[in-house]
Parts: sequence; C-alpha cells; structure tokens
Amino acid sequence: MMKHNKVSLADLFKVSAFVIALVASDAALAADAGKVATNVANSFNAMGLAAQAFFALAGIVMIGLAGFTFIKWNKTDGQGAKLSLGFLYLVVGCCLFYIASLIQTTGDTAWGEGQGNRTRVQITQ
Amino acid sequence: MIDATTMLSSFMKSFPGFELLLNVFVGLVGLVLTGTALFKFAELGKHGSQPGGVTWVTPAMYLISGVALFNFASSVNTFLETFYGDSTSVSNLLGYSGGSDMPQQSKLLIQTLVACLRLYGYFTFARALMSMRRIGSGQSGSDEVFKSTSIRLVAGIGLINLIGTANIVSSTFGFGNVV
Repeated sequence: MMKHNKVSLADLFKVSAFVIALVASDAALAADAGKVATNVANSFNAMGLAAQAFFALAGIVMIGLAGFTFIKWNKTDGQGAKLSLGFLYLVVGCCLFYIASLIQTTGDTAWGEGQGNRTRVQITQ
Repeated sequence: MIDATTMLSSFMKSFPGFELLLNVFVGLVGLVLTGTALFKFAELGKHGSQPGGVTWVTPAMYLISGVALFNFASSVNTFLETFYGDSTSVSNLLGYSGGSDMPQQSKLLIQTLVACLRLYGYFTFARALMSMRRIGSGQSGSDEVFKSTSIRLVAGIGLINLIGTANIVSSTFGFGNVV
C-alpha cells in the first residue's frame, strides 16, 4: 500500500507552535494576548529574513548545479544530462536569488504596475 | 471589580497585535510558497510531469497562492470589489456604530464581536489562498480542494465585510440596512 506523506494544516500548526515556543521566549513574560501576538509577529519577521537568506543560498546552489549540468552535457555529448535542465536550473536559481523581484513582477502582472497592495490590512470594529 | 466594559476594552487593546500577527504571517507564508513554487519548477524539470504528482499546474498554483498571500490587501480588495462593488476596499469597510439609545456595554460587545469575526474572516481568506496551491496538483482530489477553497473564499469575504453582508441579507428580505 502506498504511503502518502501529506502534511496537513494541523501538523503545520503543531510545528509552528513548537518553533514559536522556541524562538518567542518573550511571549511568556508578555502582559496580554496582543503583546504575545506582537512578539510572535516579530519572530515571524526574523523567520522571513531567514527564509529569504535560505532561498538566496538555494539560488546560488542551483546556479552552480546549472554549471555542472552544462559541463556534464558537454562532456557526454548530450547523453548524460539534458541541456534544458541546465537552463531550468539557471532560471530557477536566478529567480530564487531575486525572490522579492519575482513576487513584485508577478504582483504587477496580476494587479498592474505598482498596484499590488502590500500594506497591512486593518480590522475595523 | 472589573466590569464587562473594562474587560472588552482591554480585549480590544490586543487587536493591533493580532493585526500585526496576521499581516506578518500571510507575508511569511507567501514568501515560502513562492520559493516552494520555484523548487517545484526544478523538480518538474528533473523528473517531468507525473500523474497524481507534480504537474505543470502545481508550481503555477504555488506561485499564484504565494503572490496572492504576499499582496494580501490587494487579494482581499479584488474579492471585495467583485462582491460588493468598486467602492469597497479593506481601508474603508463599514464599522459598527450602534444607535444613540443603545447601552455602551452592548455597543462595545457588538463591536468586539464584529472585530473577532473580521479577524476570523481574514484568517479564513488566508487559509483559502493557502489551500488554493493544491488545486490541480492531484493531492487529495482537486475537486474537493477547489470546493473547500471556494467556500472559504466566499465565507472569508462575507466575514471581512460583516456589516455589509448583514445589510445585504436584511435588504434582500425588505428590512433595509439594519446595522
């Protein structure tokens, strides 16, 4: 029987709760739920930076992989590697390195140039 | 002795924190989904399209979900304008003011309830955008995912513009704007 490795939202929340408990040490000292939320949000900001750094690193690795794929393709006369895969690694690597630009470009495509609204939503009472 | 008004006022003071958490959370998830879309592209290039696995739709849906979450205000605005007209946006949603003869406690209670339901609406909408990534990827049946995503999108928008929705329902049955 095939085993499905599907990650449910509940699992995601469990992992998030564990990570938050680890990184948001100030939460235990917070005065109210709003402060807890603010502390957690600050941790998310740091996680966002970490995610960007990870994607940039992955981008560099993928650009390197593209180089190796081109070399392998050249050495084996196209038998050992696909040229298209090399180009794909190159494009994906560049997109990963400039992920913020990719988000902006896709946002501009959907909502028009400069029209994508990344401001905070506010809860009206 | 802490009365209900003080309790509700204190609770409402926590809302800017919840707002910040919501905005940062959707931004982070948007960033991660966009990155995952690129990894899916690479996976697709390496292994090719597989039935029930990664197809060409998978990275595209991840990218759309990620960008929609990153531009969360724009995504909500798009749906608000579709449902309630061009003048409705996240920045000018109707709030609850209450009648002049209404007790202050009741007014505050309804305002707190409206804020809680709006917050829930925003999270429901964000969940809809997150589950949208699984449409067409062959995981757990695309039809089921599409159905739950659509329901969450509509329910989320209805809750975000709760006052507008209540007025529309009451106007439909001839009572006019009640809130």
